[in-house]
Amino acid sequence: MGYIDAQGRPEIVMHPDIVRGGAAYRIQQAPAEDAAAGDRPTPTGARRARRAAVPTPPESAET
Amino acid sequence: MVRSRRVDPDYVVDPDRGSSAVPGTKEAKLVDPPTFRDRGAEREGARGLDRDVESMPGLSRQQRDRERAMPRAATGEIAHPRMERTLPAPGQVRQPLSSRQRKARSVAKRAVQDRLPATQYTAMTRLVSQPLRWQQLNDALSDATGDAQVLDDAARTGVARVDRAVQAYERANNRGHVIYSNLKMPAAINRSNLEGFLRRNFTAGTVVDFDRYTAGAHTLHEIEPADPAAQRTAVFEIQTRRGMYLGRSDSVDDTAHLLPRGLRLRVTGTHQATYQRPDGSTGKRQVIQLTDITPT
Repeated sequence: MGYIDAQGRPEIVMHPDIVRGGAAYRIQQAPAEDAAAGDRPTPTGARRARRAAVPTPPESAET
Repeated sequence: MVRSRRVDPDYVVDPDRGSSAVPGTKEAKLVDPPTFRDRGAEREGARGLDRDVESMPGLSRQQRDRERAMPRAATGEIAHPRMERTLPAPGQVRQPLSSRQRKARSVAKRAVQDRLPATQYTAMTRLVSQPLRWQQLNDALSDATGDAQVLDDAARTGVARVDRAVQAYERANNRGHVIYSNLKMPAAINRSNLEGFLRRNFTAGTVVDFDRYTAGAHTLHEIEPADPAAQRTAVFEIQTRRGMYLGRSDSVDDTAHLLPRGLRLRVTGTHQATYQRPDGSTGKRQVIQLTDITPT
């Protein structure tokens, strides 16, 4: 969860499109504060893992 | 604006005049010399009125701020000479901002935000989180040659609130900054002639005025352009005490910084600079080094 100020408001941050203007480089490493959340299994992550584990039939791979 | 020499009698490069489709990137525009001179004279007139307002007796600082065309600098003392960041030498590799630097700036920013009135918080949030709002307000400021007094009431109120929020950070901050911000050149410029164009039009000593707010970052890798126009996009490397840190602490690769409107800067040089990304890879960009000479 992000920073909340003394008056209960979220932190002021600049919109990425304003500061970066469609910048190309994005840091690949997960942010430290999100790392713990990233380690936990999530429904989306579990679905992706199941999908990756299922071999793709040859005919569907050709289409 | 005072230029050290006229490069081409047919045009002058105004780096802050074009309305950019990419909100945070300044777009240089070629303007004809008479228009450029007129705009410079208007700007000087507005600064002269600001000086008159400052010398008027019986006004509080708040009343003076309300009457000014451009915001006053509210920078505090630097705690130690080493905290005044200076422009790197041409051959120096630009490094990402250290974790300690980001934490210190983030702490100052959060302390300021804690005390920010709701009106200033809302005005600042609208400006820096809505690209369309950013574009419209900055275009209006550029059309007005930086004079907030000629904006409509709603825009002027919003600008004044953002200015006060930035000043609150400047008072609380005891560090200098080196800020990077993109500058897209006119369509005729490409990778092959960018360096020469910069060398001819941004000679050392050239003075440039920013009527708009300037969005930037404390690290070069954060503002790498992705679009094809990158080949004609240079970078301003600005040494200043002004503006407000809008990045986060050291856990996220975000060192955004908002520079106030009405800045006056002097070119100290242009060159190709090498910078390092957090993953250790390097890149090269054409930089224009600027130092802040905004009159108070």
